Amino acid sequence: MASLAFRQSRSMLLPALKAPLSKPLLSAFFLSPTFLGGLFRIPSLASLLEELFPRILLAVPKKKTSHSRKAMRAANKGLQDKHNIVHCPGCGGPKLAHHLCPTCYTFLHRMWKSTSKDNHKLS
Amino acid sequence: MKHGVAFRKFSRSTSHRMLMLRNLVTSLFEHEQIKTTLPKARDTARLAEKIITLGKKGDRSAHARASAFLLKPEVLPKLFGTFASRYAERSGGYTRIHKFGNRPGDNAPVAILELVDNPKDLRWEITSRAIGREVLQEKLRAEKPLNLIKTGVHSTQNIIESEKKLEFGQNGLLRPKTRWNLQKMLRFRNQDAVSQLSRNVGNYIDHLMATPIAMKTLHDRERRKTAAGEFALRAGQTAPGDPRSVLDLSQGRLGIQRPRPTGPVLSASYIFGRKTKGR
Repeated sequence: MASLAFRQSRSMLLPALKAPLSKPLLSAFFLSPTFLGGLFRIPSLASLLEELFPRILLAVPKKKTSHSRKAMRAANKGLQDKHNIVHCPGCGGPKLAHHLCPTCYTFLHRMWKSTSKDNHKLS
Repeated sequence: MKHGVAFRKFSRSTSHRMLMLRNLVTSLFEHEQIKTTLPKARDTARLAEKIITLGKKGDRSAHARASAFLLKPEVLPKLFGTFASRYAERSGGYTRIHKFGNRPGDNAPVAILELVDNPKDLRWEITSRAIGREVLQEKLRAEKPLNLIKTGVHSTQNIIESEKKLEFGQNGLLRPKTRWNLQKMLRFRNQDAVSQLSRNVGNYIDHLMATPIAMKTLHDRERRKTAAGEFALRAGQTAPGDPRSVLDLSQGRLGIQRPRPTGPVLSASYIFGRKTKGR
């Protein structure tokens, strides 16, 4: 099992060495069994990389998104027009369909409030 | 999945939920008109109608169950007295829900829940206003606005009585929807409801006719002129007699520009001269 792990890590090291050597690869090399002379068994290169540098940390934007591209992405985020606007049959002003007219309700509410206030004062 | 589930949970425990609904029903009976969120209004309406049914029954067990449910003992005589007599002929449907937009804090859909035929019945008031406006529009076709203001409108009782008898599908003075609301309002009320309604309608017609005059007085007093010569109309609002659509008007310059109406309109510029010629 150990020899299998050794062989696996070695085969994985070769393609890595072909690419320009970066810091994680160097450190991985120093910690590999070939360098340490098989002193202790370490986990495979893949899991080591995963622990030190989780995949999500490797994704990074290459350039600042331009104003134009940002604006294009926001094209579908505009407010929707309301089409359910109708005339209030009472005051003629605009109101939402199937809803109370706010003008009419405000008028009536204030009228009731003043009446109840007058009654309160009288009593 | 939640197919066919009758009750809402309101993110509350059973005891909390029940107490909240009991509170809402008690408040509804106390004030006869409350404003709350739409789902709460719907659940409260359902419970309130069941309690009103208990009130109509009136026997000892109904008393016990209603007093166990409601949280204020002051509301019980109202339930077994006022509401029982008010809804004696009505079989069900003792509450009404009016949708009223969204709350500013959390954008929750809000509704006004009221008991039908209560002293502050919203549909009664709005129907009387609608009838007033439509009667005025009809009168404006025959007479000049100034003459109408001088003479006034007195035939409201006859109009209401004739519209009350019309069947569905027949043509009359009012819009079909307004006539339908009129008939619904008068169905379970007594005879002096017709005279009450005609008085309300007359008052509102007077209010409508007085508005341009009051606005002209204010305008003269403050000596301020708007660009179009009109005032006190909100975006999309029309004076009686104006046939333009609110969707076009409320968009202003961005909407379809329709020419001003040629017929009689109850607006200050029409009454006090300077009749526009398709500006």
